[in-house]
Amino acid sequence: MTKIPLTIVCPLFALNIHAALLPLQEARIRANEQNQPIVLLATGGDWLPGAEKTLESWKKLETAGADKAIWALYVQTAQETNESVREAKLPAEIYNLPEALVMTPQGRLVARIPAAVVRNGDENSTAVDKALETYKAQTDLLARADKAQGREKARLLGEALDTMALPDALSRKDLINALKKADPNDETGYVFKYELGAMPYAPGSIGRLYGQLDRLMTENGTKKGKARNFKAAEDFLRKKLELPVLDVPQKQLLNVALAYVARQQYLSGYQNAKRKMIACFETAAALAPETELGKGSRGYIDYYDKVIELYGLDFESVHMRREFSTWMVIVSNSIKKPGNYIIRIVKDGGSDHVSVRNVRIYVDGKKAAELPEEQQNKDSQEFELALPELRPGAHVVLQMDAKGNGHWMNCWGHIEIHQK
Amino acid sequence: MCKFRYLLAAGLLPLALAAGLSGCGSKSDDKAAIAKPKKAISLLPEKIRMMIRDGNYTNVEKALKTELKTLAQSKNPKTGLTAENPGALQMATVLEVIRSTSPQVMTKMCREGKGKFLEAFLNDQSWMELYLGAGMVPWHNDTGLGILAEIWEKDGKSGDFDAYKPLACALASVWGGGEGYTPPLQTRSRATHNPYWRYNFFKNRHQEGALYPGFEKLRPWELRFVVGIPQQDWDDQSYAWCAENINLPWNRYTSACWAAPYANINAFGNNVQTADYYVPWPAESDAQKTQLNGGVCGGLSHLGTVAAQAHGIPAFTVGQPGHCAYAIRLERGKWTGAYMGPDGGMHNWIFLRGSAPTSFRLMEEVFKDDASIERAYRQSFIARAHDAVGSPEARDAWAAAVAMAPLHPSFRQELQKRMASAGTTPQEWLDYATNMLKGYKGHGYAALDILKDVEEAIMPSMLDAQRRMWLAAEHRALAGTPGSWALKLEPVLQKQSSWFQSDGAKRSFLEDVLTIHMTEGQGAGLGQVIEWAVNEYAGKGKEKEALFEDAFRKAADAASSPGSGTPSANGTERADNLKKAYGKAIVAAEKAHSIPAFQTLTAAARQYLGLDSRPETLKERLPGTLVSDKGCIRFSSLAERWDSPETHGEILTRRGGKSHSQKEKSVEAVVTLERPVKLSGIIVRKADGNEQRMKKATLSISTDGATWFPLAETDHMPKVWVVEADPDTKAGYVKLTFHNEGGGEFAHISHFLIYKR
Repeated sequence: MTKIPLTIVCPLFALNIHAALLPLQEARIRANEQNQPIVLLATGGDWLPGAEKTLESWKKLETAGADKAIWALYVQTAQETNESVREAKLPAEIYNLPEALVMTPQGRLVARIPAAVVRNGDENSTAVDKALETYKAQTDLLARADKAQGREKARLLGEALDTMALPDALSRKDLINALKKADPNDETGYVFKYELGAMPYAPGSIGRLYGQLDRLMTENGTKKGKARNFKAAEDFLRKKLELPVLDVPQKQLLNVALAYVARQQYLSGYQNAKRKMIACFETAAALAPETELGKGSRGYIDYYDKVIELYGLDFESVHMRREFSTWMVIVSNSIKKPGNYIIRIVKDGGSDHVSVRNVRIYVDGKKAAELPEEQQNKDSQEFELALPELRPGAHVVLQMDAKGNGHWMNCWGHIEIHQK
Repeated sequence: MCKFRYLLAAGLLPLALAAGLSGCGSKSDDKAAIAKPKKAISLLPEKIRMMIRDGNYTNVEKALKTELKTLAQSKNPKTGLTAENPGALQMATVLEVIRSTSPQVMTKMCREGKGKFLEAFLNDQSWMELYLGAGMVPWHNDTGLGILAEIWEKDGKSGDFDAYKPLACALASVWGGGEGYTPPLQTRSRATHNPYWRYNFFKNRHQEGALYPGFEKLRPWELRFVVGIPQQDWDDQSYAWCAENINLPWNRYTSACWAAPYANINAFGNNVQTADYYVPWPAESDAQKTQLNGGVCGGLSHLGTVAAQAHGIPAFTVGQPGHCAYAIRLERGKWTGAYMGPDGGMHNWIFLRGSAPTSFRLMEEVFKDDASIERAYRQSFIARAHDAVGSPEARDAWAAAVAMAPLHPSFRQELQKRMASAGTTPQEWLDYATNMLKGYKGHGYAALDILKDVEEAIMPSMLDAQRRMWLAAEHRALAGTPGSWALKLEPVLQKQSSWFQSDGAKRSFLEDVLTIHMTEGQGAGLGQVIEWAVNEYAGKGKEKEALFEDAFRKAADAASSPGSGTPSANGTERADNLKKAYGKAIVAAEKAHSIPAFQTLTAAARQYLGLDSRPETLKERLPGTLVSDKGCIRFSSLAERWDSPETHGEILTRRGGKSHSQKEKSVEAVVTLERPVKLSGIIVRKADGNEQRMKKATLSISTDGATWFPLAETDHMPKVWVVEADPDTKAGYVKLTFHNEGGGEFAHISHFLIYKR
């Protein structure tokens, strides 16, 4: 197939493409010749809302920074296919256009500027400058690493990787492999750091970490349940946490892994391990609250400790827990008068069922109705509660203990409340 | 419950404002100030309109039937109960809405405040047609009309509301389900799965120019595949997430699933095959959780599907054995599989419980022309009305609907019901079926499904000759149907064969089926037919084997005679498909240890492929008579990519063929002779290329196929290994074994010849 320059083929941009935004292939050649980094804008054609505005702002960036890098443009038209994108051989897979990549002259990834930033436009200049500084710092470190040996070389390679955002660094298999070669015994700790990765960037290494922890706990499959060696796994993780080269993502992951070990302990019957687990999650959450690990740690704390507020009178699989936990729903609109009320738990769908017991009513924060003693701690789908008093406008809350069942705890439904 | 809260929680405040929830303004408000939506002109009699206003739908139904019964008596199409009489059509359409929803449900809806909506809806013919023509119509529940009511109440005054009625009807259809089907989506919490939210989402995205251009032309039956996944839906916020975080050229949504990492264990140590995997992120949408934290095929396929849908592209997820895949569609009739889709069990369907590819291929064919299918649906409302008033024209009315949409399964089944109750004779059924099946060429499995009940009822009273004609017509439709791993012919053949009692009849049936699949269509079904036949007949005694051999020979003769059949594939494709089918059948015969089947198929393949005209490639000879050429061979493994099963029979002759194993530690080939013989010797030749793979080899012999005795061995097998047997060496089976080290090795031979003294 004859290659046609993008300046001719792009329908929207035929007249608008800035002469200095080179097609990717040409940019690669020039970058190699001039030993300059490449700043690539990957964007869409007229199918992508806002693409023209993005291109305009990018042209201004290029004008201001023409001597800093080789500026390239890759437009994915509406007819683009997976095959044609593969042929472009980008150093990163892009699923959200527009996105910018900063690359070495050899086309290796230095930094990604995500769609949210590129679309917005206001921070593009800062982002590009930061990425070019990363490139500079990395280039210096790699030049020094080239002249070094052994542990020193590994340290410099590790620091070069440290200049990049973690997911970008993990894509640099060339540097990670060089690191492993220079430091086969991992004296620097960098091999562990970059092999560990952190979700969602390195699912394979996550599996290996937890596999290793399971092997330590079970002593290679010889121990089960309560008899497992939780301390061995804990000691392993705490030792790794001492590595001075670790950054927040790795520390966060290791704390989450500590929580995993504590969770295994708790689930095997050691009740006091629950506090330890929560403490590990607290530490992980505090390190970086807004990351997936941070949010997930907070989510786990709530999972174990927080009262579960339903979606109004609807319950979903997300409300299920493996052990009886408190469900709460505000029912001030359904219970407005004193009287006897029938509370029905109605399953609407899902392959599993929910166990419910100990339904009770709170009025203005105080328990106002509960089941007679002989009905306590007994599962049912229908309950009757007597509410002898209720002032108008009171804040009425229905609580109950509920537990999911089955492998998937896949169950959803609603609560019906009828006055008798 | 404030739905707005969920968008805030997801950090999507700008989108929330744009979505116009909680009474915030929408872009369409400006247009509404300029133009009001067009009011539909109702042709309902005033009396009916007043009764609709009153809200007692039992009475409305009764009154409609009275009116329509009178019209049914007129022979004038312009004034009778026909689609050419607009007043009659509208009454019939209203009656159909009542029938589908039920008068009791509609009366209750009125009492609950939906009366004004029902009045507007039932007086709007085009809107009712959109709703009833969505492919699946909510049955005896208020979900579908309830959704339309909510959308109408909140957006009905917009100047562009008419343009979004198809979208509203698609939502009603997807949530509402159909007769005999309640989608799990219907009972999900409206806090997380809200049809009105989705209406706004798609409407606003469309107005922003963010949707695939084809979206504008989509009809409700197609929009069903944009607005949700009724069987296994993701939450509303997943659509918002995908709109923000996955933006690709349209063709590339087949790889959108890879926006998420494939992960079995998450960062918290939880396995994806447990309920705990996504536990840490309860506030995140399904799409966000999956894209950021990974998943396996189910999560990834859903992500790809929802990403496509969020951009206005029809898509569906599909279940396969041990896997979940998906498919997208950028133009009518062209579903593109992704992540190993599109076949399997669809999680969104209109026909045939979503068995793909049958379901979506039929759907595309039925709905492909808007004007035709709309006409057909109108006729179906008329036919239904004739039914409702007990008119003798009902059957003809259904026949007319079928004539307009010959492949529509529901119309066909309605006609068939009336034919059954009218006492249609077996011959009349045969005439009907053979005529009908001509139109289902390429949709054979759909035809079988539609005729299933009729066949069950009528076959016992048919003569064998009539059964043959019926089943031959079915197989013509099947032969032209593109194959798929998901389409299994074996149970069909098993059932069909059971209609015949005598061996002669069974043989005739087998001949018919083999001939049809050999000569017509793409040969896709041939492999399955032969496999079934071999399993059914070969190795089950001489009589059954003879029956199979005879049938196959006749079919092969019929298929090879000039002017036989009308291949739908081109010559090269047919030849290739036939070659593959023979190969498959030959392997099946080998596995069945059936010399007759193997010999029969080998002979046929030889003839078809011109193998017998090739020269002998072997110089070496042994005294005595070659006997391997009358036996069969089987292998411990075959590497499909490099093996040539259609030449396996040739391996036993001096012309030679080719087999190619998988990599194994011990690769075996066993020849079964027609009868035990006194051996003269054996010649084994390696196939050309990579001959160094085969070094250490042994030959063993047996008379019972179970107990083996060594005959010869070598550590460095030459290209051609000639072994002379001692006198009095008797064998009925000869085994060649290659012994490999380490991880194993491939083996490929061209000749395995056995000579008797």
